[in-house]
Amino acid sequence: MSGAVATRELPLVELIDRLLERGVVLTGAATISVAGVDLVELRLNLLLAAVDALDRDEAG
Amino acid sequence: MLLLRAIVAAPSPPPRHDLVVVRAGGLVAVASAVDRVPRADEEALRAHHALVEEIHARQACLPARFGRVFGDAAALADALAARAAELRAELEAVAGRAELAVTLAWRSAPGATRPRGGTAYLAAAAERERERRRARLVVASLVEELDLDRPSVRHRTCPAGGIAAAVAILTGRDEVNDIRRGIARFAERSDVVTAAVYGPMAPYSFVS
Repeated sequence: MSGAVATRELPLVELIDRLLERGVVLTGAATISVAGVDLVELRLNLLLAAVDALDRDEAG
Repeated sequence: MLLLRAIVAAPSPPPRHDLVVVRAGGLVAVASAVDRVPRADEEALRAHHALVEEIHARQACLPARFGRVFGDAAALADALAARAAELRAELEAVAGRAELAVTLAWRSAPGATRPRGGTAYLAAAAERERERRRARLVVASLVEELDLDRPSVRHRTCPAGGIAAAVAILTGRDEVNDIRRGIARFAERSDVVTAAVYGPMAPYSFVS
């Protein structure tokens, strides 16, 4: 029974699956743009630090 | 900004004029200088994949998920140092190995129909669960036939209509052809799935 196909060329769906959902990630890494929309990941500690700084500025 | 491409062990990979290398924690991050946040279109993804493969062909590497951008070399070095011990262990685990992607498709896939009514919905849910069980059995058969150890296999069952499983196999570079032949034999004998094999490639599915 046939049914095995072997190829080196990675189809787009496999490419998207691997490159956007897998692979090594370093903390602090930031941003990706999909379909022209920038999706920004902010480290929570940076965000909280920024909010805290704003609070302090306003209080001062 | 620096767009991370891959991480390799020190010493640094052979330099390329369009690449930036950042060292920290006994590791080397290979990155590209970019002016703006990259758009994840096909051209950019294929360019990233090609570059990663070029690095992977020369030495063990941890391929980066696309789109990881750092403000400058210092930021990248800090992030690299923060995970250095873990990344060195991952590099050691994938050294000399490559990933094969195997898509197992049902030979006869049921047509997707929208269930009407509660009973039909429950029947459809039960059928999906049966399909997942069948898919897990197919993957287990493949793993057994190829005599793979479990840590070398990642899989997702029923990731899309008509697909039994998407399987990633981490294998020695010199075993790739044997694995390919084994998968071909498996698919030829199977009356339930066909198989498409892609790769070898950098081990995207075996790094974190």
